[in-house]
Amino acid sequence: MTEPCDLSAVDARRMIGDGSLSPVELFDSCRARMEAVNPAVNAVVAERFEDARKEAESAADAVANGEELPPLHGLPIGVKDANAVGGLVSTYGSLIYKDNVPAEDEGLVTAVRAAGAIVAGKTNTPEFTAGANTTNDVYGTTRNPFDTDLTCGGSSGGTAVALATGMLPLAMGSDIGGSVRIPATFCGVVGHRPTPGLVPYDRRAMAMTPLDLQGPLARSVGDAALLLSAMASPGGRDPMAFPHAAAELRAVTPLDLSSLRIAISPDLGCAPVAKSIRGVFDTRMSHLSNHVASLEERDPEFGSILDVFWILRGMYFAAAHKRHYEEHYDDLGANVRSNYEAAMKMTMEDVGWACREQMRICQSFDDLFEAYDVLICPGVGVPPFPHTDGFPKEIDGAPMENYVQWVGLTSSLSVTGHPVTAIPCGIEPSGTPFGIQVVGPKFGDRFTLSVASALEEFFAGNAETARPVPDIGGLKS
Amino acid sequence: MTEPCDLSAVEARRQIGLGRLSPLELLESCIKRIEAVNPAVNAVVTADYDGARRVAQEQADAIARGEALGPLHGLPLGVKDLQETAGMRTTFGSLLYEDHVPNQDDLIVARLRKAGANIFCKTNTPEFGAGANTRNAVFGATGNPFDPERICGGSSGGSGVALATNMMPLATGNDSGGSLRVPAAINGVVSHRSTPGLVPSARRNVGYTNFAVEGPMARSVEDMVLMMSAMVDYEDSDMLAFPRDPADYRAVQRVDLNGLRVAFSEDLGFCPVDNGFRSMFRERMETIAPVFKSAIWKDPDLSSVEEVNWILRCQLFIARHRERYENHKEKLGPNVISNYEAALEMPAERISWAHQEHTVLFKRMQRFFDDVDILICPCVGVSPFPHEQWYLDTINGEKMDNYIQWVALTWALTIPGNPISAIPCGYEPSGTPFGLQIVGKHHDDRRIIGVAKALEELFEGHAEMKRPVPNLAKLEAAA
Repeated sequence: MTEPCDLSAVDARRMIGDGSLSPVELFDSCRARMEAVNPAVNAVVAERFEDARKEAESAADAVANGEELPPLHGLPIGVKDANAVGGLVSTYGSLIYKDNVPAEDEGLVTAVRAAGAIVAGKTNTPEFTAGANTTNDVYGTTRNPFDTDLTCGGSSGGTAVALATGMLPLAMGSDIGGSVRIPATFCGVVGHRPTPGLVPYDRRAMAMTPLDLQGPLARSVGDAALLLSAMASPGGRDPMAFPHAAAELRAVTPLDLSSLRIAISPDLGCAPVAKSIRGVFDTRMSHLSNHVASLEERDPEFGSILDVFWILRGMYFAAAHKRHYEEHYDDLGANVRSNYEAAMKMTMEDVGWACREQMRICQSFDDLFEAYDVLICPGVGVPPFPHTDGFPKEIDGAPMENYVQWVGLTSSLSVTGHPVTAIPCGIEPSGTPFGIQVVGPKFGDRFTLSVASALEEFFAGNAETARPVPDIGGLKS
Repeated sequence: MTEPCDLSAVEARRQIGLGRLSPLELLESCIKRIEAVNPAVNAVVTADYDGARRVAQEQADAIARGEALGPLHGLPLGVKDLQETAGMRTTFGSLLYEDHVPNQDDLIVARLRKAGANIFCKTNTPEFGAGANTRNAVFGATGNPFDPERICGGSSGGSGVALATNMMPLATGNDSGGSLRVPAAINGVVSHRSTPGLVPSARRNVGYTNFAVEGPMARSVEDMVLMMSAMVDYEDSDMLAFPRDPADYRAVQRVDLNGLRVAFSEDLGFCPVDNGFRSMFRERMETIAPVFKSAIWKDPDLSSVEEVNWILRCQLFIARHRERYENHKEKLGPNVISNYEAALEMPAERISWAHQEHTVLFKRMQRFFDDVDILICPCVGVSPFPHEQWYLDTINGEKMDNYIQWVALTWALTIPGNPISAIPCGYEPSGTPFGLQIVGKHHDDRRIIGVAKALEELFEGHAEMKRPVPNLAKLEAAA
């Protein structure tokens, strides 16, 4: 039997609007699911159930009074613990902030609340979002709901797990090198990394960079678009922000697949990808080839883009964590320390080279979208690994130089800043979800989501490619 | 007597559309003016008059056939020598490119050409645009039309001088630390540094930076807007570009001054500004203050901008000039070399600090505009100096640290990236033009330009703030 917490956000919101579902009933259902399943997966790490229930009651009153309802009215939402929520402990996964209770919401939280969402709690993240294995010294590890010995990915791991297990209909994520897309892939949910500036972000440590972006996660593309429209509300003190009509993002309809020209690439010509993932990707894409206008293998010319990422990431880390490193060294984990120290060894020549390469690669990647509507590649280059491993030290025998090299499929696309929707595409041989990234032209967020929505619909028609759902009953016990 | 080359761009274009002025007639008038005045100022450094005559003839034919005409149809236009022009020599002011003839137009050049501009010459720039004294080893110095021994500003100096002397109705520029604004101020013309991405650039070496913004230059705000409408549009090869409707810039409305909350700042809180300029600026602003809804004296807090600018500028220099420095150092000038070498010594910690502080400065600057609509400050804070000097090394008796410190008023505002119109405001004490920067909120370009238009009209009514015009007869005699 479907419980209210298992409804899509779009359906739940429609039912709230027509009076057939009360925000209180929905919240109680989400709360019951969290209480039943969270002990097994540790996705939600701080909650505000009492206040949230009161807000759900007010939301129900607004419906009863016939008030005009905003787009997310009455929908419970999870906020990644990398974002500040007023009055709720916000740790950023760091011991330095384990007792930090911000006085105010940050801009993005204000925006989703203004759109009617009810903040239910915080979802787990690695320390300062560093790395794609969601574990930290404050709250411990978040587990993959398909196999709790495995990583759920990260850094928006708590968000992805909460969605996969039906704890919440919507939750927020952020993405430097793949932190929206990797956990979406590992947990069988949807994530969207927007064009830089579409979602204004006022807490980024660096004024102009495509690296640290905020994006929605959800169980369907339609739900992700609904949340994106609220997160993208213009304003905010972000030098990357630009004027646009956010409401247009709300209604995404599946495009006609048969007219699409699709480029596929198993490794983007630059990323380490395991043979097993290549095999699954080839098979799944072959299903698609008869249903689109054209489907051709084509690697972008990414050259040394992973080195560019490492340098730009280093600069970002240094900007964000200098004070943490200098004043709280003992409270920092290995990823943040090693990343900061690597950054300190970089020279102006390295940085200048990286900036120039970024521009060159980005321009050549833009040209690819003249010949193709979208590019599709796998979401992650390896299946989920044991969460105790930290990160994969090798892929098919090739050693990984640092803790982010294995996410080259996602980090490379962060460097160019093109919009990417990550969607599930069945399971891979070891039994955990497999996912793909759908990459579109700059500012083509609505288009990219529309293509992803059409693919989602197509994949749903086949048991092999349909979105996988974890065994909720098993997690309860 | 007014010659065709003395017409405004808008008026010339109107007469072309009505068939009262032919593109050929206008072009010949511009060529004649260049031949008469350019020897004295050296603003135009390369030209293709015969090619331009053929284009003007085709443009005249198109009019005769009743074709739809682009917004700039038949207007001769000069391109700064930092921007590539297909088939026309483009040196970047560098000996390395002395004989470089590109086979393609830069994005902006292509757009202007497509809009009907007749691209007929190149205007001088310092080597790779480095510095605000338009002087290089390829073409020498460009002189100030009000006093040819002194600087004309830069780096879009050739464009500024060509406009001031009516050699052409429109010209291009670009601006990292003030290169659209400084020469506009020093030559008494108009320019606009847009919110980065509004006027896209496909040639920037660093994708995410507020430096290197392309822009229009003209003799009036109205002319500048006409040109801007042909430059604004989305372009996917600029990482800062965003979707925009160019039609928004076809006609920019004057903004009513009586509704504006204005802040005046004589030095942005820290810039070196000559004491005589300070009192002159104060006096003029007090004269116009009653026009506004409110006018206060308030500096934005840009206390760390000097260091942030220097570090980010160094980063740009490394990205841009590494190959040239390593392989052709002997052909580079002192500004480029000193800037590059300063960059080499910068540690990672300083670079990342600058990026973080950049963010802080941006946010603080946007908050400044919560309480005021417009900030007005001087564009240049000193009188032009002899162009033999590479840069000004002393202001009010204080020694400057490097070759860009004397133009702090402009690069300080590059860093937050707010849109800025530069307009003339009478003469400075030594008899050359004085100019203002009109600054507003990020992405509020149309409003800033609307304010600039209203101020331009206001200044026309005040003898001491009218746009200065150089003595052309004297320049012709000198030539």
